[in-house]
Amino acid sequence: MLPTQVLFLSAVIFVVGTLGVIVRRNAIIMFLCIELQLNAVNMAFVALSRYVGIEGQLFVFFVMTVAAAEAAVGLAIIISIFRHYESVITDDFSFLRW
Amino acid sequence: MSGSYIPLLVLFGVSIVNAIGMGIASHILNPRRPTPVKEMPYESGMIPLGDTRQRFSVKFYVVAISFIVFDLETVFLIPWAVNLQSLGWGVFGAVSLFVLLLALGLVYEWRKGGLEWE
Amino acid sequence: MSFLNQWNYFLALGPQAILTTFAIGILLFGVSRNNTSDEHQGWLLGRISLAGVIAAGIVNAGLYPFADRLSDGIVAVDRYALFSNWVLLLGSAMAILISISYVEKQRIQVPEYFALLLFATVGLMLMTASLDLMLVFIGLEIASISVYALATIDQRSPKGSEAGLKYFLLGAFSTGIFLYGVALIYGSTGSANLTEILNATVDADDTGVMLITGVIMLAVGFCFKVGVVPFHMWTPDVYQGSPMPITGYMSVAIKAGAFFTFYRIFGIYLDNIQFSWGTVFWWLALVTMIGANLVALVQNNIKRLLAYSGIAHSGYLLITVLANNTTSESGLLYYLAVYTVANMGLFAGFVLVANHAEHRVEVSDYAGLGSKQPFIAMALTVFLLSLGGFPATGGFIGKILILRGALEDNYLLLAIALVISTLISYWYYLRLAWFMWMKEQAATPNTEKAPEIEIPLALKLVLAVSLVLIVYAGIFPSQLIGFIETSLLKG
Repeated sequence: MLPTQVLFLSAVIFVVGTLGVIVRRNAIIMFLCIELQLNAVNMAFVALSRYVGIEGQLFVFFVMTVAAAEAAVGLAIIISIFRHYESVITDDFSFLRW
Repeated sequence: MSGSYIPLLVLFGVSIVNAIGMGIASHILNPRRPTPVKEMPYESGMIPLGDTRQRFSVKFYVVAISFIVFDLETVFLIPWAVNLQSLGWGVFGAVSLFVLLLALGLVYEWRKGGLEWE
Repeated sequence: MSFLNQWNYFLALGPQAILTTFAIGILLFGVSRNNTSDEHQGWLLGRISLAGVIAAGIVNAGLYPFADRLSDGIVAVDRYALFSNWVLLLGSAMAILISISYVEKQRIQVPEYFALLLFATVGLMLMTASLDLMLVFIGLEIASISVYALATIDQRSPKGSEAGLKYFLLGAFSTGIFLYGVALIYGSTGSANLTEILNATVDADDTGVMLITGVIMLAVGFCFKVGVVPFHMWTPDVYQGSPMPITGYMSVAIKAGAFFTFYRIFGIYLDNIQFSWGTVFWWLALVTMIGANLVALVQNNIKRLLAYSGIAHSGYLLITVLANNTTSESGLLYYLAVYTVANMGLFAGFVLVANHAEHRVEVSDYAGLGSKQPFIAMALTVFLLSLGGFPATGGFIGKILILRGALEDNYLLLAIALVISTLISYWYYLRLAWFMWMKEQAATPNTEKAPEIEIPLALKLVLAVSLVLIVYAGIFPSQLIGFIETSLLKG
């Protein structure tokens, strides 16, 4: 595939992730959509590095690492909230107005 | 530049219209005679027992997290290992520091009980 | 001197390295002993982390001879970065001092608490010093992930978990947007290095759609982090649910770090293509100033009040990014320094009144404070006046500098909006002060009598130091301004 097509695909995936975070109310699905966004970014970096040099592939490593760290903390937070509310649907939490 | 995208846009338009049109057409045209048997998840199979979404121990999650962290270590180590000869001792020192920091993290996890199953 | 020898990075990142060492040491100390339920662990580890901050400060002072001599790498050792280090270290030192009694009383996991606080500071310092968008991202994430965990560190508090989840979801979401912006900028300019981006955008005529989209997404990501109006919806909830010292830290350090970086990226390195983001920022600043101040008028919870006040301050600071001349840059630095001290002092008072817990956070709970605790009430009043921008407080000088900077670049409308929104903000700042001095506590039988507040030494120190700094910065501003003028990026 050509880099432009990959770029287009990554844009589509990014939009899917963004819409997912906005539309869905399940914390885990929202989190997965965020991961989708980050992977769309990775795809964009790799596609762009075809044009502008090897740096982009290097950035992918850092994004992956940060995504893993975010997953660790994020899942811990989701588990902590599940212990309090027995739910991960964001509409069920009512202490703070959303 | 933008002219070359027009065929792509046309393709997208046609496929979206096609997909939505098929969905709507089948919704309008198909006959609907629901019976209890038809509405079961497996129409001619076993009757499902209980919910498929069972909860399992949170221990898996701790192990999964450790796996992610130490799996990503290799992402940084392999490019360095491949170019070990040309990178020299300076980079070796830097990588050693990186591994040392990860080892300290492992010590923390160990002492905190993250590696124990029960 | 150059970064060809990569050990120079250790020199350049000396303060960050010291803080990291202390943070790891505290973490390992926490698991090295069997008696983890030590009563005075908070006090001990608090002092250790404070020592770490002071050591980082000493290294930071020692870096001044090297300033502007290390220039070709992806880490800047300019006086601007060193100044922002001062502000961030001051903010985190005050947060540590406020936290000591709080963590002991709330039985929070002490080692993790202080280690994460230090890690967050490391991330912010890395972010303000970086000259590469990828390093900015890494610094931002170190700070953000630490603060996600800090917001939810009180395991028994449902509110804390909820705040942490909201902060995490929206923060990670904004990270995604920020990162896509980085990718697009990288694609269109050929590098994520800010210097090369500056060189690539000198010729503003051939700016493509891709670059502009990238810059806007970058800005949106930042606006989420600092809470600018259309992207602020997480701020009040997260501030309300987080532990109180962490709320203070978030409102001060994250905002300061993000704005220092914001200015470095947009004010300096993306200045050539200001036409692409200028209009957006203009509207954001206007909407933020007016909107946040209006919503703050009806808040009764002090943490939510401070959240909206913080959003309004983000609006004021956006003006300095927009009107980037030397006056507005010194306005930015002055304002952030003063805002850090005043807001942190305010939270020290809040923690005291709440008796190191999460109750008594309504404005009406402050009734009669003036007669019972004149020192706390007086300090809080001065901090509120400084946030509002009254003469003879540091906030006044900061606002004057921002106004002058805005007028120098002919942002007349924004300057007028700044004055109007400041006038609006007097209402809610003074309302809290009015409750403290003019209103007696309602003698309802079912509420328990307000406990006697005794001020721990650490909090006395925070209140007294902030009080002195605010008044000093308000009455004798010339010294601080003189120091700031040597720390500017422009000029």
